[in-house]
Amino acid sequence: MGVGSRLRSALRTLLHKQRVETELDAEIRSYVDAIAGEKIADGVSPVEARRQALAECGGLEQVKQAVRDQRASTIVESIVQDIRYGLRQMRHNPAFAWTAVITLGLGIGATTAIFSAVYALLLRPLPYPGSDRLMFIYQHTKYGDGALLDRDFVAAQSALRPFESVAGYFGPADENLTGVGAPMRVSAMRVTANFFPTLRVAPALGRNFISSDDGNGGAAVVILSHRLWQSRFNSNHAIIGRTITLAGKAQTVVGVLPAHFVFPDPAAEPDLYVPAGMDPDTSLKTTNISIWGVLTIARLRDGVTLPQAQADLNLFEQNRVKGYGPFFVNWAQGRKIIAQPLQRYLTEDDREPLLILLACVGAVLLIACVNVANLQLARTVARQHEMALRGALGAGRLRLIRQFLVESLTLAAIAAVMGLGIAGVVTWLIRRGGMPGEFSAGSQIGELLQAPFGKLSAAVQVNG
Amino acid sequence: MEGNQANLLQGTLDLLILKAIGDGEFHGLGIARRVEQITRGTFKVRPGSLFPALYRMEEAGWLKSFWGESENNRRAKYYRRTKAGERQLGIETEQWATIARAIASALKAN
Repeated sequence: MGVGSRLRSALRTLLHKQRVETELDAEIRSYVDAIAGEKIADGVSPVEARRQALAECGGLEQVKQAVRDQRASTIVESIVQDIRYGLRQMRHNPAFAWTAVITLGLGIGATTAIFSAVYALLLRPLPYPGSDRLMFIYQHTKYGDGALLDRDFVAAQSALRPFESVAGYFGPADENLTGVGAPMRVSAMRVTANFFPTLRVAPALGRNFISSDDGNGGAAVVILSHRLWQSRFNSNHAIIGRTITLAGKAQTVVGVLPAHFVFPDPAAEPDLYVPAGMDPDTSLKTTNISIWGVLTIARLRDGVTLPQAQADLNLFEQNRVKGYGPFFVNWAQGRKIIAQPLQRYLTEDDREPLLILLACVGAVLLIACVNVANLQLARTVARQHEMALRGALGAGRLRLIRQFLVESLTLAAIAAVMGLGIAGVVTWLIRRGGMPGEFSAGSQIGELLQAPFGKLSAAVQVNG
Repeated sequence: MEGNQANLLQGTLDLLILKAIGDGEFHGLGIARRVEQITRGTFKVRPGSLFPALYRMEEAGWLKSFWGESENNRRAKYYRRTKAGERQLGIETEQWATIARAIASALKAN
């Protein structure tokens, strides 16, 4: 108890320091006066009475100091004093202060900027609900890693029990969009009807594809990206049901995606989506058919683990090979069909270089800390006289240590502010240099995270 | 006992002050006198420990202070016990009774 009232009282003392001090003085004076008054009434001379009263009290200043020492605000006041003192020290020795602040600032800035990138690309969950259940399924053959064959994919859609849904996409293909203003090239991605439901994304306008859209060749329907809808169709809400001409073919617009939607593979970023329209025939007997790869995203059922799903995929692979023609049996020798977390798959290429970069800037920060610690040490030697003097005047060991800690913290705080500035500039540069869409989605959150991380870096320095 | 003032536990001083004030209103000197009186002169509270204790207890919300006129028409700061102070008195009385019983039984043991 009493924490609240202590805080309130500390605040009052800090805000009305003068009045609190005056009242304390008045109170103790009235105490002494009262004792002196009694003595005078007893017949002691006024001067002697006052002397005796003061002696009984043990000194006005001592009493006042004893009261101040246990006030909740005292610690705050003395820390403010320490900070002021630290700042004065820096002004007296600008060469040291600037060296330390710039060294630390650069270290903190670089680390924070790279960490922002690492966070945005590797750590931040994918922007889909329940994204940790999303898996990417691919095949590993003796010819290398690749997407599932379309016929295997269609078979997998109905055969794989551990997954809630198995969705696929392929493309994008550049198509001519005509009929609305000047003709333009758009990138069209072919997706299965369950693609957006698997990602748990609902269109902002209109509807998703339905399974009847997905029939052989695909129905003549299209879902627009928010970007294309805004730039090409002036965000017209009456677009649903209208016909656009894509590659010379009339297609009906059935939906518009929400503004925040990003395609799982940010490098693709399609303008619009058309049904995959896959052949329901799953046989792979002759080579006299056209086959292509389907990139596969599946949502794991709740309660199913990845190893369980993988066991099912192995079984599925064996069953498939039994129905293959001789060419495909040979081709599929030693093949594995593998599921891995979608995020892992999408960030695979960036992972290693980014982590190495993070380790590098981390090392730079550590070196910066060591350098500043060395500078501090050298300065401490130069300040031995000052410390000896303060010790002789009665400053306790803890008080002196606190002084040094507060000075280091002040230095680190200034460096952290500067580091955040540098990080902001660097992040901006990375974003401008990076591919469109790659950074833009994660950057706000990345920047948000800079603040605590910068402070963390600052905290590391204090130990130095 | 005056030489032994340093041994006066902080908790004991709080207890004595809360008890001395009771439901009345006292200034600093009044409280010191009242403590001396109710302990039959055993405890003489010096300003060096009285005022820090009063300020601490006010910060904790057990006491409330206000300025008023003293008996001989001087301005003085008066203290009154709060509801929280009353509760604290109950708690500390309880604690003290426990300690006293424990010490007494320890001394009787052989």
